[in-house]
Amino acid sequence: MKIIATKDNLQYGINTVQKAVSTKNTIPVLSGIRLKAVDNKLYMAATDLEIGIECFVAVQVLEEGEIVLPARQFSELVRRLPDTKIAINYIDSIIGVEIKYNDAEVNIKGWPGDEFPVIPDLEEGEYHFEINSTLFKNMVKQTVFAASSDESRPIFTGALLEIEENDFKLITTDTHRLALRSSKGNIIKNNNINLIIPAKALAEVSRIIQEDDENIQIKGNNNQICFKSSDTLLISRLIDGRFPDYRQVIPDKFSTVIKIKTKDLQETVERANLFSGEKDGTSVIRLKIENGYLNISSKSDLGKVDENIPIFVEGEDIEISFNARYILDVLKVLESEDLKFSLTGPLSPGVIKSGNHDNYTYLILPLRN
Amino acid sequence: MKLTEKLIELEEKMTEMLEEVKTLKMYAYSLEDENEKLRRELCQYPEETKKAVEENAEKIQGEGYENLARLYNEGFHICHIHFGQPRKGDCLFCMGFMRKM
Repeated sequence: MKIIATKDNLQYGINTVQKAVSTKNTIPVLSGIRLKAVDNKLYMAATDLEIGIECFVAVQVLEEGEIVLPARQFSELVRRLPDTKIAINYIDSIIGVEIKYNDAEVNIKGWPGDEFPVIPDLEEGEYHFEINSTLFKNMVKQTVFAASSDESRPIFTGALLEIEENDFKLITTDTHRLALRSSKGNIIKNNNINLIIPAKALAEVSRIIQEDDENIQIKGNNNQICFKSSDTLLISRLIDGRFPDYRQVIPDKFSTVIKIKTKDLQETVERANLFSGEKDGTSVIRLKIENGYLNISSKSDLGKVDENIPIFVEGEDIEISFNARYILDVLKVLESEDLKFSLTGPLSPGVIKSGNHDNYTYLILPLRN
Repeated sequence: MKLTEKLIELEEKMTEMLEEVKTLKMYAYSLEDENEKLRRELCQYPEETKKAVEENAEKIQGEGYENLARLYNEGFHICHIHFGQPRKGDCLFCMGFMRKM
């Protein structure tokens, strides 16, 4: 393998695949990035056997070939290289490469390319969809934070991707809250699927999708799913099991509905959160809806906050407590000026929806006093 | 035996058989009637039995709900995904299940 590349191209490729590099030391070759030079393209790939990422960058290929280089050393080196032409040549005697730039030369030892696992692109998948990449990024951003990080309950560490006709739904829950985002996409093959995708993989898809990619292709089978943009492919295993019926937990009748400016609520909750006395990840704030005002208060050993926000309210007065962190999480991703907060009672879940459209629902369980 | 005598004998036998078919047909009718009557009797419980069964079902359901609510309040999941496992905080699916009951 002999190539000439730019620092920016190498850096872009490394940044794209690096999150898939294995951090476990069980299979040494997985701690590397595979470089494969073909047809004036340098394919870079990494996998930890849970997810695999492959992308390509434009380079000048003088001699085709492949090699796996240790990810940490290779990425740290490229980051520190000068912005000039970089030649990478395979050296058979050390099973590694020499990297030449200006008048300097660095040697890195690696592993033979054929020891690296193949990353399939699931061309012959059981299903195939496409969706606008900016829209998909937004769907992931608005849901992935509500997934659980508790590995003892694997189903909830994933997001349910439900596709019926042209309706795409992404649902996550940690059983204390639930986020549901729906939108429209195009079906190319098979029109009804129900899959649980690891939230970490979705976050990675969202990170590597470029804003200027028009559509992202989603293909796969019952074990693996593949996301493909113009220059990048990510493959992830799916989570086994059945996602619980989320529809039965979404209330449809409410006793109190308020409309409020998202920014006003966010700033007040952020201030109240400072004195919420966080314990076991729970920051208790109290909400009281009375006489057209929302009163938000919190109290800890360090002080207290008590604020009133004018709101538009329909229905009964109510007093209810929530975990401030759960409210702040949704306010950060809600891209609307106003929001609708609907409540049924001090023990039933509250429902937050954006003020101007109906494609996002966030459920949050109140805290008992 | 003359042909006429043979024919007479055959006619008598056929008349006899026809009579037998008629008797069997009447017997089948009566069996069908009895079967229908028994089926109706089997399916129809008296009002008081029906009421007792309904009351019992409601009682069992009520006890079931109370048991599940008690289990939940003692800090265990009652949703089908994690039934019987200790829970931290309220669970949307347990509460959804209780609301549905």
